[in-house]
Amino acid sequence: MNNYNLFESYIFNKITEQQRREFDQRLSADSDFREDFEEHKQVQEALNVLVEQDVSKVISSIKNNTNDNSDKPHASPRDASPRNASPRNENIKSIIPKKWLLIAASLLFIIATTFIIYSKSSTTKPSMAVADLVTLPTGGLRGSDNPNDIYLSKSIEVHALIKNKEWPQAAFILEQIVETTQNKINKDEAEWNLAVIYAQYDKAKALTIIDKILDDPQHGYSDYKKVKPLRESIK
Amino acid sequence: MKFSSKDIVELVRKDIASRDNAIEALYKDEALRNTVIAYVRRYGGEESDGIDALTFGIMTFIKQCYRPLFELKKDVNAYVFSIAKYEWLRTKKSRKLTVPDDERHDLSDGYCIEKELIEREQHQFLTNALKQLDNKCRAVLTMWANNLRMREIALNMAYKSEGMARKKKHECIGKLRLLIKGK
Repeated sequence: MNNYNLFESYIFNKITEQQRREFDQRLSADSDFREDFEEHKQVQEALNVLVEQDVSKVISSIKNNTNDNSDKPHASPRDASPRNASPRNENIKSIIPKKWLLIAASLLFIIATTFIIYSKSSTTKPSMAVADLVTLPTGGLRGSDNPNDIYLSKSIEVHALIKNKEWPQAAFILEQIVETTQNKINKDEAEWNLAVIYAQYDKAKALTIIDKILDDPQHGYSDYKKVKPLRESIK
Repeated sequence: MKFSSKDIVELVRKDIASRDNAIEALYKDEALRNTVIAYVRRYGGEESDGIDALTFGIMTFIKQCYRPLFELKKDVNAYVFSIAKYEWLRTKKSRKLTVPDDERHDLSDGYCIEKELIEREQHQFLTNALKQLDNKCRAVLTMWANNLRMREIALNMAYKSEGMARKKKHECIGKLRLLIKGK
């Protein structure tokens, strides 16, 4: 399946009218394409069923906790009715074992502490952490099973460059994405991330991009809560 | 806790713990819950039907968040309420209850929900196909479907590398495709 992005753009109405007409024509004329599209939808729905099963465990767990908490002021009558007594008394767990959550929480604590100490000792001017601002996918985006997904692979590359603080190289890749991608979501996301990167070494360029984002109400990041704080921090 | 549309979608996509927090916040949101229950009661249901519709609405929202191109174009509560209303209509139909015209009109709030929901027969078919997968494949695909990174999947499955997790995922998707095609 090489049409992941195209199919998803069609499903989520992220293509132009012209592209939609061409897509519809191809669906009627090309049986292989039609079959691929149907298969794509089925696989995505099957994955949704798996998500649903996991989410329903989480909701059952919340319901059980609510049932257990008799002091809860707004416990619903339904929760207490025999009809709805849950057959499952064991603790229902989500897909991540608790030990991993504990390890992740400990790591986060260490990283956060290190960051706070580092930022207090090494900077005089408050700045925003790049890691908190970057919104590019880091890989594994559900459904994108195409290893050649250019946006995804470029994003992973940018993450690696950011890690090594190779700002100009990261900016170069993002500029390429902004110029070449046909997908508005990706373009807007790349543009915001480009502003974040420029903020590290070329504040004038960063401000130009941020102002462009803020001036365009159609931009996917125009109302993103971190845009204005970033602008303030680099002004 | 109130979230903006963008915030809550990001929260769901971030990691499992954040997603579970978002689910809990939605499920315990009294305004949302009361609105759904009041609607369902007004149209012949009980409180338990309202809770079921709310649960369905939250589940649908979470599923949509995992589609990279999904954008929440309105308030999250309004979105979940729209889905819950539609689900209640479907439930009434399946119970052979009358659906009055004014209730149908009430659904036309400018948001096309139908395309986001699959038919129950189709849902059953996919559930059966998934049951035929072996446990490891189900586990890998469940984690992948829930947006876990390959590194996390490898850790949870005790695979030696991300590459191995990726390979297993491809293998399982292949099996799933064959099952869906009925081969």
